[in-house]
Amino acid sequence: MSVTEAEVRSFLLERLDPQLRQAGMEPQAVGDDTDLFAAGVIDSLGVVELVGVVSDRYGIDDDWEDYDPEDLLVVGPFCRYVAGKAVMDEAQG
Amino acid sequence: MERLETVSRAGDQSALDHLATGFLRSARAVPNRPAVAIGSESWSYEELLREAAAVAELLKRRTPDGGPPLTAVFAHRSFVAFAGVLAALLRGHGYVPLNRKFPVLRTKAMLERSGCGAVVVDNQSLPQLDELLADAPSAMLVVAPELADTQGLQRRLKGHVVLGRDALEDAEPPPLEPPAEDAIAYLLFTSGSTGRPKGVMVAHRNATPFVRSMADRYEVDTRDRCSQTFDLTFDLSVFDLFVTWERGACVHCLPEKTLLKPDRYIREHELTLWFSVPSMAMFLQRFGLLKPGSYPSLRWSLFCGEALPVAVAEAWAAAAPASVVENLYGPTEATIACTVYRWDGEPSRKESRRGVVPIGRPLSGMSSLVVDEDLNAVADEQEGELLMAGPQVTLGYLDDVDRTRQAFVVPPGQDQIHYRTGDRVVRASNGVLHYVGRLDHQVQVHGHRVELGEIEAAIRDATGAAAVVALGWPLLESGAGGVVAFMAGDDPVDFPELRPKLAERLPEYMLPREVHVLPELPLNVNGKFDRRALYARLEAT
Repeated sequence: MSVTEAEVRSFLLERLDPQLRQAGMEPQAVGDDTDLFAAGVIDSLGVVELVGVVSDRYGIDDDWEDYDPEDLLVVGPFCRYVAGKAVMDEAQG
Repeated sequence: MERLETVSRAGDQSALDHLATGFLRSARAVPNRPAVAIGSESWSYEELLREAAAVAELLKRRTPDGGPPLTAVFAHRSFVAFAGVLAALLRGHGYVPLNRKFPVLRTKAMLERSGCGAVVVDNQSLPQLDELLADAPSAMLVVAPELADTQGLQRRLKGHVVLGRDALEDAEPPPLEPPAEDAIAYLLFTSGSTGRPKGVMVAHRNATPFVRSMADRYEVDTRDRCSQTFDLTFDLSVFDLFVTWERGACVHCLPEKTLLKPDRYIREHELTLWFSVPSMAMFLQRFGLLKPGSYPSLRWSLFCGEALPVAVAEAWAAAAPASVVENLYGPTEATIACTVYRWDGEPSRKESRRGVVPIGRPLSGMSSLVVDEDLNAVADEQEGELLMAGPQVTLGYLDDVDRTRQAFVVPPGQDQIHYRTGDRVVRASNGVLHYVGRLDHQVQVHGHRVELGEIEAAIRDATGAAAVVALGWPLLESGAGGVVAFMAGDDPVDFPELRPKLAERLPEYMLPREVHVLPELPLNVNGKFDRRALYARLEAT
């Protein structure tokens, strides 16, 4: 079963909802090029935690070697990358 | 085969005890070798010296008279940052690093307390200048080496002198004068428990023995490419710059985001010496990027700033198999690092305690003492506070005689000044020191030293709450991942409103990730806030 970018995005925004609100940002206002790290929504530990969570959830077994650090953590590229790498079976879905 | 150009080692004892000596020697010996690389750009020793000398000359001619021999450098991961640090030193001043990632009010307090009459600033930091220099107690010389047109800025900064690119002229580097006994090489502010950062005065005579012994230990030469992961406001950056320049090597300043995921950078630039907080290694591990053999170019892998977990040391040693892994330890007050432990696989794993790598033995010239609360030495294997003595013990805190006296002491039966680190350690019978924890409420957040009292003071001031406790959370083997706070009150806190208020005073890594409100805070039997009970609460959620 394939995972869509939109699905990753909705998971991401739901998970980061408290942090977005804390930073005074409405989830609807988050665009493709919103940089959550630069905007102070998540800190460096938050980025790493998030990478761990999505790796587990979407079964990303290989490393993140080809992910460009400049895209940390830009919503569009991040969701596309995760969707492209995801190996999710029915049980996890 | 490429002929190896070398920079001779600082000869005998008579070598000038000035932090810039090594750079100048390298600039003469290998002017065309790269001195600094930032992203894909790099500058040779000659180019860096030319810029630094021009800025130094301007500083010397135009800085208002009077005031302490200190110059501020308000620049971040830019060529101006490197040239500015050198320019301050070449003109005979100590440098005061300022960081635009910090709240402007915090930077302003540092600048004003340092008494600097001049600031070297890069273009990216210019937008903060209006606020930084508003109501400044005296006129400031602003040198902006990247700024072509100064008119607009000069109009905004009335009463100050703004000089840009046009004002810079080629100049011979001024001959280095031997620094006075207590001349400051750099002034660095660390978190203070009462809510006010403390300025640590580090003399040339503290820093130069360290730089030289490190360059020797790591056999740095002109072929080396050394990482710069530390911001200039973190004293470990002094190692990055000056150990590298001591022997004509190149310092590689990693771009901001690359610090979160440096794998590609290390490989593409074939770095030979890596130096970071253990957190960066843990980040790479989480990205699945500490696979065996990943970083074959590294000769040395150094960690400092927080506890190094055994699992991280092992994974890194396998990922960089040609490198030797070392764990360094040291507070700013004893100059950068003062003990070291070499990781040696299985024997080290056995020697490690509680899952963290030992901090090892004192560097040459330094000595350690483990004491009880009366400063009397305790026996080996007994826990106590770590005291350090030797040439790296600094001058103390700027304009704070009381705190300096409390922290820099001569223990009973000793004749040297020892710095009280506040770190609890155990000295094993083989002389190896093991880090146990803190005596006070200081935590390391990804290597940044954080006094929880400073955060509590900021929350009390912003909310009017009397009872506030900040905790390092989540707890990691290396230290803390961040900070969480509790306060007593009846209504939930409006965090989106509170956060920006705190952000006016506290840098990002000190901002609480959550603030919980309880009707009252639990107390322990001594009537103090019960931090354990609060930790238990966090663990339960």
